[in-house]
Amino acid sequence: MSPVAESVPPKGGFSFDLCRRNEMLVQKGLKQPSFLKTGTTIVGLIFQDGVILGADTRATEGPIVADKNCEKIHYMAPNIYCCGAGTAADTEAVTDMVSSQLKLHRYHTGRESRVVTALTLLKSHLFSYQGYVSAALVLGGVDVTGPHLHTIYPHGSTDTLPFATMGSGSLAAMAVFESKYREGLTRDEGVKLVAEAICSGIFNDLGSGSNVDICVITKGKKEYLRNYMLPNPRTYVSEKGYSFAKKTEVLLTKITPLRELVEVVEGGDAMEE
Amino acid sequence: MSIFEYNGSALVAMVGKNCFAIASDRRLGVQLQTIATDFQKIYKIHDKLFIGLAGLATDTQTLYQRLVFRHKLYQLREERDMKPETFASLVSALLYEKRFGPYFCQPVIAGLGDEDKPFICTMDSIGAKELAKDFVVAGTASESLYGACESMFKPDMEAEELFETISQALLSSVDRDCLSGWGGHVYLVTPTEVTERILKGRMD
Amino acid sequence: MSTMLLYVQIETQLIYNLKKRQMKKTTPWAQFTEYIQKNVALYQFRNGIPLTTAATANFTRGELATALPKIPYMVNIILAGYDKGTGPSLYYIDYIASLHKLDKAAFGYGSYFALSMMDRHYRRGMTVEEAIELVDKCITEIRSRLVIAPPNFVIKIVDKDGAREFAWRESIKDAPTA
Repeated sequence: MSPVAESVPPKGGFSFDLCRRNEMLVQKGLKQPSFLKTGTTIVGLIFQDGVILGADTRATEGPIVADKNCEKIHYMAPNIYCCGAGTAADTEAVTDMVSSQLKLHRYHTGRESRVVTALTLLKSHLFSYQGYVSAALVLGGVDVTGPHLHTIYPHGSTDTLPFATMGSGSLAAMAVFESKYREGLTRDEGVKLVAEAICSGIFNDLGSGSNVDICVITKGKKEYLRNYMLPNPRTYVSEKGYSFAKKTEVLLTKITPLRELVEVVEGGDAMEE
Repeated sequence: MSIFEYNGSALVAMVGKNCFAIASDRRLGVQLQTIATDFQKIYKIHDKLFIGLAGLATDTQTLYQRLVFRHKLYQLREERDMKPETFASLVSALLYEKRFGPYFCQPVIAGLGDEDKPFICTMDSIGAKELAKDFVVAGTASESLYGACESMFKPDMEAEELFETISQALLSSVDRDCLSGWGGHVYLVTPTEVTERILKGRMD
Repeated sequence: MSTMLLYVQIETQLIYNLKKRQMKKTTPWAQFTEYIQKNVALYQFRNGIPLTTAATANFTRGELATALPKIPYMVNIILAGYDKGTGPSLYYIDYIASLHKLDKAAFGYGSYFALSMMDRHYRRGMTVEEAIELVDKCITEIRSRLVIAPPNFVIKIVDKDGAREFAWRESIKDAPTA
């Protein structure tokens, strides 16, 4: 009989045991599926007292919009956030993993995380997977050494920049930054410029769309402005709603009442020894 | 033909006022041949948590067995049921572990969380979570389900209206998909009871 | 008392009786069915009670699913059994290990004809005589419609009295058995 160990919680790392079977299925003429992507516009810039990150909120699966309002600005540490583009599962997993490593590191050292620490953890993971973990990231934060902004490519190379864009809408957004960015922007000017860059991605890149998310990080403070702008509201919803001419034909109905949860009273009669 | 289209499936979950509904079609096929019209695609994890699994039938069965196993371990260790959010993370972790040799499975998770707040979520085959406030879809009929749900869904529906909406959305969508249909299976979950209904559908 | 039968693809017409091995083969699917057969027997020796049909079906699926990434057996299985209490049951397990309980099943090229024949004539609660008549109808149909129809067929019955060979339907007498 097969070992039960197969289903026991793993220690971590990837499992490749289905690869050969999947290869066999592909050879039988079945195509490999596509994964959820964030064909994305993500940007970041440094302003006079910190970093601003921005992202659109569209997730796609091939040509289909899978999620109209997803979150692409991921939490890394209280003072560090990270925008993700590429395969959604990879950006999610890689940022979650590094964020937990950072938290353990903070417990260990008792100090605030630094952006370079996050950067090194991310790039060493991505480099070791040779670009197969396809996450393109914009990492921004403010630490003891000041504001930092980095971009990280799926293969593990990184850039350190005053303003950065990533994803399929990066060209549209970069056009805005190149023409309007200058050093020493105020917070409001910065937020306005980031929103404009994201909007340029939303309207000119088909892989990006829906709303604008912004995250402003300054020394000792952060503001997560979820859905800062909603430039694409629904235009087609009927006020009256939808009514059905004929009821659905039901063949069988089974109703199971749920048990009420019993309150356990503490300090009742103690059980005899 | 994609691996996802090998067996055929349609799954949808919707949120109502303090309740949710999760529905699937009932076909088990092998490419264009129908094997059975009473195939189970929605599984109960506990009284207020359900998971629907679309995609390759063998992987849905394997994944379901692994999930039940992990949930039972959790119940024994913690002496309580898993919250839907926790369960979603578990599914995501199991799927992402096989990032480079995935289960060909797209899950839909629906449950009632703390204070009976409905939770719905779907994922791709490598565990990228997609949380939604209104409805989620999966399977070969997902494209037509997106359309049907976008037009039929209303926020804060009561249980019976929710049932009618999800049933109509499911049945109208599978009529535009060759690989799913042959009846429907709906679970309607309120804080006090679970209603399971079998729907009559077109048999072509 | 439960008895089970593994029905492995119509064309190859190999039927394995789980209690008594009838043919020894070294093809991957024969290896696999033999492996299941032996483990079911082992279970009965160890525990004193036989595995139910449902349990055997789930065990077979589990083994096939875990073996699949390593050794692709490419075996389609129809598992039939009779259990006290539950009565007769039939399970469909295909080569990628999808399991389902059915009333009627068929595999292979002949399945297209057999399935439509059974869709037309099958009903629940048929007698053995009626069932055999239907099986013969299927065989006739396969022989007349399928260009590459195999020459010989065997019919087996699983009921409360166990699994047994019922009859052969041979068009070539001395044809090698698969």
